[in-house]
Amino acid sequence: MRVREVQLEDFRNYPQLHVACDARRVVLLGENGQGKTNLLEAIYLGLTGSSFRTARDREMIRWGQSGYRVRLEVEREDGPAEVTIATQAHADGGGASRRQVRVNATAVAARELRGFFSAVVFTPDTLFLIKGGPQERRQFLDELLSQASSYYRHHLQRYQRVLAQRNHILQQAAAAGAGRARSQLLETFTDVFLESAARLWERRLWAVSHLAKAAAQAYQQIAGSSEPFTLAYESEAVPAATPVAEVENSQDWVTLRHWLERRLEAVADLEWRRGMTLVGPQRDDLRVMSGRVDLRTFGSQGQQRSAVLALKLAEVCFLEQQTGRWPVFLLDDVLSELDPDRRQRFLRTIPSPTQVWITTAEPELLRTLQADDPKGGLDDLVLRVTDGRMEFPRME
Amino acid sequence: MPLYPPPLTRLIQELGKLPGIGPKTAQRLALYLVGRPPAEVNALAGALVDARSKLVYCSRCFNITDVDPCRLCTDPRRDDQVLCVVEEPRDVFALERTGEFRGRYHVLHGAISPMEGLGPESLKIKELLRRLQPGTANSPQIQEVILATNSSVEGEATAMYLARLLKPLGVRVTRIAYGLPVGGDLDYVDEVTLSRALEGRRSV
Ligand SMILES: Nc1ncnc2c1ncn2[C@@H]1O[C@H](COP(=O)(O)OP(=O)(O)O)[C@@H](O)[C@H]1O
Ligand SMILES: [Mg+2]
Ligand SMILES: [Zn+2]
Repeated sequence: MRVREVQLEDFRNYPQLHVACDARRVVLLGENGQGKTNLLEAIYLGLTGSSFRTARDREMIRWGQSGYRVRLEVEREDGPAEVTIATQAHADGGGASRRQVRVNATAVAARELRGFFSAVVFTPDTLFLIKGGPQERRQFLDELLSQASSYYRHHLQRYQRVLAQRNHILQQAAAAGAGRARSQLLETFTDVFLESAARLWERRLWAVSHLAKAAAQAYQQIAGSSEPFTLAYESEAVPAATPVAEVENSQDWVTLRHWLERRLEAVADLEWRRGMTLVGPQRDDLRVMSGRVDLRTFGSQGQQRSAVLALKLAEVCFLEQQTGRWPVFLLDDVLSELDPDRRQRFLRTIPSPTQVWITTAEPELLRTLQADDPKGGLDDLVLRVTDGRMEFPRME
Repeated sequence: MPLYPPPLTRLIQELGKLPGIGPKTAQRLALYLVGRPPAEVNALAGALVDARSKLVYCSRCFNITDVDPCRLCTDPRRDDQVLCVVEEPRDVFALERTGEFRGRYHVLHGAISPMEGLGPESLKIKELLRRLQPGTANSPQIQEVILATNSSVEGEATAMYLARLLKPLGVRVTRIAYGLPVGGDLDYVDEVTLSRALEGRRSV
């Protein structure tokens, strides 16, 4: 998939922008605060329906204006498509803004964009994927699977709803302080909870087993080492002494439902006291190991960087396998943080059909990029970003 | 805020209480209404008062009706042995439009949602159980209860709750299957519905 044209109106610090970008690699060069990340944000928004920086739509409207518009022309594997997102804030300044999303002039819901396009973004914050809390890694899996499948999006939504309902029942019970008692209501919501939880769990396990292979390969290439790299899904609900392989090959959500149910029974007293659900996909984690080192807590900065890069590359490959489309890969300010060897190995690991967007404040990076590229940077497009405007610097 | 004459302000306030109508829309509607000929406005007001005073909930099935018990409950051509449980009166009208179902109805008036403070006791569940008591004078024994609550989390939970409650009574309990919504996004619905349909398959 390739973004061929970007058009912005009153988006962040761009009053007007219309730029052709039909290249395999697009480099955005500019000092800090000029609008490089803003442009990546617009692309990500157009391809996925949400920003990677904010949940508030109005924040993206250029200050002092009443709405923004983003239009992308995208060459998909199965033909060209045009997507537009336009937001109009309420005149009185309060309330939610009104947003219209269209694909080829047909109105769609923002969340449905993931069924048409895909994008993977990498920012300096992505490092928290390894060194941050479990929440970051769960979100990584949820994002990935949501982009790959409407079935997952559907069950994730249901799951979040039923979890909130179940927690509410437990919270009230705990507040009443009467201790555990038979509750038809809780049992009912537990049933509905198990339905969705087991399906999410099944899909996550399946994704991890796919990602693991691609990530291990990428890690060894990027780190330039033969250290074995392993990913494993961690869940308290897995019965002790179950072999990892058996868990990961568990394509059968009925078994998983049964495991979850047994584990819920085991913690029932505690749930009544604490007033919340204590087992389920909302508490699981992804273990990332190099050899015997748990990279989440003991990885060196270099190892953690390589691991994030490997996971992101695995994400790109996973999405292609699942959707038949190579996602657009957005790299925000990450290349300059890598040492030259690692950077070169990373760039070479990116599958060649992937369109890559790179932002940097360092003009020297351009030279290494071009030297690295076997084709001598023939298919690179370099754009200079200055205060919400775009120039095409002459490269000869 | 412009200062409207008090009667207009009052109309705007009343309209603003309606579901799905915000202050802006309430203003627009009010200004529209007061600009219409008096006969037209009287007809609207009359219809409102008439509907409200003549319509009640059926004391048997809790659907909206102008006669109690309602026509669906008293129609002798309908099957007394099958009872279809739905969340809202609008679901009865939707099912009736299909013309496929010939049994009786029971309207719960909502679905269980603890977060919104809606427990089983706030629905017409006691009344449902009463209808299932064997040998009540004017209703022969019900053989099958079809749970036709929505496919939402709350609708599903309500169905499961009722299933647990009803099965021990020896009545056959079934749940409706969900098909493709017409006019929905096929790309989206297809995968989900098909997977659900596959999971829910039965031998024939
Ligand atoms: N809604 C907005 N309207 C106008 N300008 C904005 C808005 N949001 C951010 N900016 C400006 O955008 C600039 C940041 O752009 P960004 O793309 O993050 O820079 P960089 O080139 O460093 O990636 C800042 O100067 C900020 O003031
Ligand atoms: Mg930036
Ligand atoms: Zn009736």
